[in-house]
Amino acid sequence: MKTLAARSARAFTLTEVLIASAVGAVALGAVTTGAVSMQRCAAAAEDFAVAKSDQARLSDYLALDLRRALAVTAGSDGTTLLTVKIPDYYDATGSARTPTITNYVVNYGNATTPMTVVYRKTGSSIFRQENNSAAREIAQNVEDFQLTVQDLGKVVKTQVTFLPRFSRVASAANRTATTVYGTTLLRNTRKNL
Amino acid sequence: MIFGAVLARSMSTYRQVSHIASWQEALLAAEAGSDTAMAELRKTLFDPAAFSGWSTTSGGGAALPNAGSTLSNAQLLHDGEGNTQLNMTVTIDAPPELKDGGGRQWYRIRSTGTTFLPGATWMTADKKDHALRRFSFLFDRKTKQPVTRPQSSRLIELIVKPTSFENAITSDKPMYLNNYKIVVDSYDSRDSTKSTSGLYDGAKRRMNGDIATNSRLIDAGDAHVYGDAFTNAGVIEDGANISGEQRDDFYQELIPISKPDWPGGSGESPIEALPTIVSSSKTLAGGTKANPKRYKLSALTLSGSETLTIAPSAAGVESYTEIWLTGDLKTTGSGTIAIQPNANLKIFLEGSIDVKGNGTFNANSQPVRLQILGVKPAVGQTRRVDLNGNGVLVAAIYAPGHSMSLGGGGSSGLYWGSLTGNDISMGGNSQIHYDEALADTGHVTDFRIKSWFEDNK
Repeated sequence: MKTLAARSARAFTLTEVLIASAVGAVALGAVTTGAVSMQRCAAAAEDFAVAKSDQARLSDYLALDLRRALAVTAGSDGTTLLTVKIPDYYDATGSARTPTITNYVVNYGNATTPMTVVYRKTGSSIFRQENNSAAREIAQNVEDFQLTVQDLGKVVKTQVTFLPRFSRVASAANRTATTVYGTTLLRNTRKNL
Repeated sequence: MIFGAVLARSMSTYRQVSHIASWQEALLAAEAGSDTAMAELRKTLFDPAAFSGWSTTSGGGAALPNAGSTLSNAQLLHDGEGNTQLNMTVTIDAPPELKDGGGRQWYRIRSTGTTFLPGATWMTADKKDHALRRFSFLFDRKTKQPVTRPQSSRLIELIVKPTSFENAITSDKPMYLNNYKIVVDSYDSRDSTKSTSGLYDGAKRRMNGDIATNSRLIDAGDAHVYGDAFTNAGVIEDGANISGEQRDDFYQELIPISKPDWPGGSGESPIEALPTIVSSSKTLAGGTKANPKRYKLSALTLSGSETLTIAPSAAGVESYTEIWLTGDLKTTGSGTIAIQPNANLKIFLEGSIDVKGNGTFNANSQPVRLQILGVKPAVGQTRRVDLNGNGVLVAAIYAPGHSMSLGGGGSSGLYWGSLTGNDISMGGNSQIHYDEALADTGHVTDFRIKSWFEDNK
């Protein structure tokens, strides 16, 4: 005669199966949710890193060009953000020139044709172009670019807002959080430098 | 796997932040180098030991081109994460191309700042960064030589101009213009559209009669200033008649004038035996620019119609005379200093100036031909420049240790040139017409950066 325990070991009761299934479903759901969260986290981290990289690069490019600028003009055609004139420092071979002095002004190369650097915004990308060379994309997902030339052309302030790719909700608050501010003193136009 | 991807991304971001920080710090190191060079250059104005410790040869032992000097300063250390060491190498030279229209030599400073890149030897994040930051992981981007550690380097180039008498009036301490009838404006004696026959012409008045103080106060007294006014984080009172900018971000170290060390070296002009004092009319002839005639006087006192005449070595020959005046310069009546055509006089003044009467100093000429340089008074001593009466003084006065008072006590007092003093007080109907040519042709009192460029190729 078989005992109750022996009979029980051969199969699960319906209750047991249901409980096990429920526990399994919960566990699977938790794992799936965790995996999705981890994936979102990875994507957010990636987006955040790319966004920060773009912000830093754009900010540093602007500071580099503005510091050495001879003149800065804001764009007015809806695409051009700003045009920066910088000394024509490199000769045709790419080597540094030795400047000359004319009327107590320092000139690199032809004084009437300094190098022109143009920043343009096409779609949500910002491109930088030196003279007639190919334009190079330096930042993506830019929503807005503001430029203010102050102090009689001696100070340039920039304000760039990015699209927050790392957030599912592109709220105004999130956009504001991506704004990068820059203030650059133009070294070549300062008095009593 | 996902956790691994997140970790890798985080590490990459961390490394990128460190790399960007290193790149930013490299510019700071480069600017430290250029600041060091500027400081040494300024030191040449008063310290014979300037540029000591700098090398005039390259690593191979050859002399640097263009009379260059170089300094390498490694291991400027700081705490914190990422890079902790800044290195700079700076070179200053004088290429022949950098001579201005007056033959004055300008200087070129090239400074490289280098920092290390923490972490592994690879670029992080977006490759677009490399076009901007141009890190040297294995080879130096400029020299193409192998590097011992991944590094970031940034090179800046500055062109520096020797300068002098940059403003109409400059003071270290407060400046008071006590009368609305005072006029400060400018002209340029080199340009016929900005002057007439090299002289001030009110019809060609220019707006570069700038006034500046290192202190916090200019009391403009509603004087008519055709130029800008600068204070050092201060205020400008009664500045309604200042035509240009009014700024509060000015500071300019007024480098003191040292006593002459004549003769400073072999080949330099000796001091003429006579005269040793001038108290009556006298004529002093000049020498060449390289070997000016030099006189050391204990006093220069002129009264009545007595005149000290500075003459060229020969008619039509540009000539130069220098006086080391250990005592005071005093004039009364019509006593004056006359600078003949082609003659130039530079006075190194240890004493004070007291001008009264109606003398016309260096009349119908340019201020650059009469330059008065006030030697720094010893501690506890007071030196003054008092200009009163109705005379005309065409001169450039740089005396940052002297207190200045321009009375213009009579109906007028005309000063063509530039004034730099410790503190300045003006009154009466004084008029100062600043000659813009002085900034390019006067006695070198400082150096200014006229071009700044970062070479990021």
